[in-house]
Amino acid sequence: MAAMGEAAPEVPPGVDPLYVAIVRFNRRDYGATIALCTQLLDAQPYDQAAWFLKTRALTMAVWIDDVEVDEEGVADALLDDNATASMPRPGTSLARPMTGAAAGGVNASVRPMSASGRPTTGFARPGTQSARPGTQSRGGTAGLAAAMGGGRLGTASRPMTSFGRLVRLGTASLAAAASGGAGGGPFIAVDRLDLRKYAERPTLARALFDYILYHDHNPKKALELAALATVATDFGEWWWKERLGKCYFQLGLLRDAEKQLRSSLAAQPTVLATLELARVYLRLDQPNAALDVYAKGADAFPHDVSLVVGQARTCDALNEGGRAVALYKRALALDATHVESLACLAAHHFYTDQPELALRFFRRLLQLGVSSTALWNNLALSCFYSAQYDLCLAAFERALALADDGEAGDVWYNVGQVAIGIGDLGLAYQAFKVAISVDTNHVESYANLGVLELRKGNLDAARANFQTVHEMAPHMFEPFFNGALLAFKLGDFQEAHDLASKAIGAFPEHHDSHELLRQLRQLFAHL
Amino acid sequence: MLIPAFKLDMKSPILPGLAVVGKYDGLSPCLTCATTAGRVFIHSPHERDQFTNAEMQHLNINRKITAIAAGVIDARSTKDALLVGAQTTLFAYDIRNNADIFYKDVPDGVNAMKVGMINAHDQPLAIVGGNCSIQGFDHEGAEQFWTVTGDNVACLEFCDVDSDGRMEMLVGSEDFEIRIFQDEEVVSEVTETAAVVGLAALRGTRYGYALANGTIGVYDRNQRVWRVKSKHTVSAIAGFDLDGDGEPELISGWTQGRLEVRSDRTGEVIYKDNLNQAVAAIVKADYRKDGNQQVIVCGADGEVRAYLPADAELNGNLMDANVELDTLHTLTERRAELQAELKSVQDNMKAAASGQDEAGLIPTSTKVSTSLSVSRHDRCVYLKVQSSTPDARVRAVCIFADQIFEGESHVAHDAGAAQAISVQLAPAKDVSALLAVNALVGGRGSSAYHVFELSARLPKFAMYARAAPEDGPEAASFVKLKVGERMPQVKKWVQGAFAPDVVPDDAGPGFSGLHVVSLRTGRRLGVLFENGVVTVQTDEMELAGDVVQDLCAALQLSELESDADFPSEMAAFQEVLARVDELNAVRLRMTADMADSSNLIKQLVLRAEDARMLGEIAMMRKAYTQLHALNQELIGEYRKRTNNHDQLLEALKEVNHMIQKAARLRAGQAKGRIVASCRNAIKSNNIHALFKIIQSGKE
Repeated sequence: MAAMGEAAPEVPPGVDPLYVAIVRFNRRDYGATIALCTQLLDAQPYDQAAWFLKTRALTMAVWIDDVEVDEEGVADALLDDNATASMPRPGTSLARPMTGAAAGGVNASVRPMSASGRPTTGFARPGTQSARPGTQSRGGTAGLAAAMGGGRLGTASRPMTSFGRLVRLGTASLAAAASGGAGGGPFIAVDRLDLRKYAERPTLARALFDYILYHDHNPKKALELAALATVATDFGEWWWKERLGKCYFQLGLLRDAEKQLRSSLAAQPTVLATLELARVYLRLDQPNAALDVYAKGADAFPHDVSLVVGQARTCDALNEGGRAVALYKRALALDATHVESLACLAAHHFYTDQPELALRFFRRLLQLGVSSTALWNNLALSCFYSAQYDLCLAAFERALALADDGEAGDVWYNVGQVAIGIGDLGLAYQAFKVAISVDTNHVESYANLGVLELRKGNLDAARANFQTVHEMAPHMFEPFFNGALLAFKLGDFQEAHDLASKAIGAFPEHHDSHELLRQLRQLFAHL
Repeated sequence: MLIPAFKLDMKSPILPGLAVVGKYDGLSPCLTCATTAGRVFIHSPHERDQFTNAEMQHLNINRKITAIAAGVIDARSTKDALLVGAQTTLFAYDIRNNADIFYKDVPDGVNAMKVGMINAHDQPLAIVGGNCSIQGFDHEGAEQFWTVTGDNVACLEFCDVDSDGRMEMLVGSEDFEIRIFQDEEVVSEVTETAAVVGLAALRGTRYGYALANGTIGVYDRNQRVWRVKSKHTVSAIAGFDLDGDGEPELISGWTQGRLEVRSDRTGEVIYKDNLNQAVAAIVKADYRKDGNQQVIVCGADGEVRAYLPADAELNGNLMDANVELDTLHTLTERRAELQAELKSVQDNMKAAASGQDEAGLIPTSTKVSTSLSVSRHDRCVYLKVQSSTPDARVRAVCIFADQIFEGESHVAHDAGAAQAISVQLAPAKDVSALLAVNALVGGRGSSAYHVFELSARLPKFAMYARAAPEDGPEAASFVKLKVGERMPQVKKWVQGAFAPDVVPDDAGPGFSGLHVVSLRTGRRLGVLFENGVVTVQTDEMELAGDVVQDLCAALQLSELESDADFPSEMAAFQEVLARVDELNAVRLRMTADMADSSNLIKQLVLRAEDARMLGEIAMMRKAYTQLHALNQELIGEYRKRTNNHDQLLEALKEVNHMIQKAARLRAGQAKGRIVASCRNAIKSNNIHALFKIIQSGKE
């Protein structure tokens, strides 16, 4: 949107300004295109070509791939009434992923879990960090509070509604004013248009539609236009059906969206409609149906990466790590520069105790030009665990140099981990303290600090640290177990029992917690 | 004495008629019922949830559930799919995988649903009965079968009624009819006395039925075997062999909680039980997976009882009542009756012996006869019951007939005791009926009467009188049928189908015309025969259809094509189609508005809660005020939508009805073809073709 309000470029004498505008548009110089078209339209308000080009340029300037960045809003997730089954079989719903062993993936003791109880993926996308606030799992306001709290500092919290992320009311009106014609108002006042008239002109209608949806973010009006246009094309145009589906999806009318997208796919199989249909099923909490859609799409378009990655993401969300890895590999075979697949595979190898392999994937990412705190940090860890200590600290330094406040906490935490690994507990203690000072919500640092305090013999400090974690991260089982162990040693059996039970709640297969509980039960029986 | 095999309490209400047992993993039966708030619960005792150990699972449908079914719809699979019908949608769901199988808009509504095979299709279909239409969907949600029926479908059943080895589809609808479909075609119809609410296949060609007025009964090859009427309302019927004799009984559940098991041959009650709540549904399943089928009775408040067939040693004696006592009781009653009869005979004899005239005796030669006459003035048909001798007076008449009166019978008496009594008959529909007349005939002033049992036939088109010149011109609309040179048969048909004083006027050789006027509406009906072509002139397509169908039956025509021209009805039909389009457009717009508002509502709820958590009461109050206003607005919108939906439904029903009427102007293959091609025309939105099909019967 930076290109708005740009001055029109010089048009060489003897060259049609419209031609210049088209060239600029093709070079994605949307600001110049808009400025040129504005000039043209000032001279000739009914110049359709200029109008069309300006509409396209305005749309493209703010266009985002909404299939890719889609995230369910807090309101949609909390007030969810789309999911059919309230308690489906585990592994058939995003709300109830497979538990560790059953899925054949790694378990929580090896791979850290995100707040939603599934392993962290190698690639942060909307929704992978914070837990999906379920209506069923936790009671009303507790779930709400957790959902509003958002994820880690620096990772954006969820938008209010899925549509909410697309609409920024304040900026939208500013942008509209900036893009305006001579009068200073918005370029196209959609409310005043006779959509019926536009619906009969196929080319203009499409440009106008995209403008309404992507620039104005007005799915209701866009839907009206699309509905009129489908009628005008005798219900035969797959493009309009796909767009109808998009509108319905944004409005939350998932079943209508499903119908339109299916009909669009029947008329003309496209990757986009397939992705959108799968997205509808994911929103309906039917991951198996989504996987089915992806698989059918992948049959029709065997060389499309997005369909394979879509499957992989869904498998990841269902905690079926094994399947996901195979799919990421397939995606890489199709597109060797696919960053997400590389990152996910690297994470997989790292957590399956193959840091050397992970290192190769991370280096590949580096070669592709990705240079971020997270990457350097991961490189450092991989180096450390593959015994390349000389590279490890250098990488951490790079990571720290690149890190902003949001990420520095994570890096310092990992520095602390490495320090524990080399036995320098003093450095570790310092590192965790720094991590907490940067990011006061860094629960893992609190947990490790608690253990260190315990080693130092500061029982109260240790307890306080554990308690902080219990409140902030109920999805982590280690602090619960550590707390339980501490309470057990201190003779507070009741608390030990409570905490051990919670640890099992977070990680049902944790052997040590079970063992502790068994001992406790025996003790209780003796009493 | 039969006791329930097991009892369960589901702790959730069960909506009437909405229960089914499905094997969603192909093995374990799960009782699935619709409950309140648009939800379905699944009781799966054989597969508990691995974390919570719960037997119950709830599904949110979020719509008013109107029908529920389970069955294998994908021939390649062994697992049952759950099918849930709501007002305008059908939803097929794979419970095990938590995935849709299909989700379909069904604008005609889903009133009844069954999974079954239709002969012409080699795959199982989900058969859905809606408003005037029956649809069949395959496992991909594609419509494989479509036909129309007279009114809203209330129940569906499969039964081999004509024992030809192929299952027919039985459809009970609100217009009192049970229609039997062989593929798209109605092969026979049975007219009952109230809306049909339940059908149950028994054994072979027998099937049970239940009506809205509390009647249940059994038909065998469209002949009624027995029926019983109760003042209570029947809520569910099923066929199940409970006494272990190898023949299924008719089991009925009632809204006051009674459960009755009646023999399929005699209708005699062989077992009864009482639930503390209304019976909601009756299903059959091997619920304990021990190889024995049980009949499972679901109560409206969630009580579930299952009964196993009785052991052989019970000898079919399911009731615990003392047989001797019962017998004694009936015999005592019988004795009292006989004594009373004997006494009256003795009294009569005494009176005769004493020579008194008013002994109630009538001349032995007395005959009682009935006659029908049409009265234009009173707009009804008179049934006159007359005795042949003046001494024998007809004191009262008791008439039994289906569908003529509001109940099943009518009693008329004359205080003055004339020689004849006339009874007004004004059937609301054109039906032919057999009137069983009991005439009470006695002497003047006597207190004892003779009962004469007579029967009279009311012709189908009794409510039509000869047209007079003041009735206006003939109707402009007509339907023409080629029946061949069968003038005598046609004339015979007229004699049988119309009142006796309605006769055709002959006007030249090979030409004859019948001109009558309806007593109900005052509209003209003309039937002209000319050189083997019959022209039915009427403005009402439905009436024309009735006439054509009756004529076909009388002439034993199995195939009949016709040309129809109903300008006024077609104009009205065009308006209906335009209205459907308009209502659909409005609905689309309102749906989008509604979705927009509900997004806003969600946002406001969160904003308000957020403010509450932050302690910002002023902001919270603001948000809640907005929420309240928006909510009111939504409720208003909802009313509009309901209105729109009702109107749309009505219009769609009219469309289906029109197709049905057009089909009834033909017979045999032409009838089925018209239904199919009309459906195609409507699907492709080709109004022009639709009109042509209705008129000529061809595409």
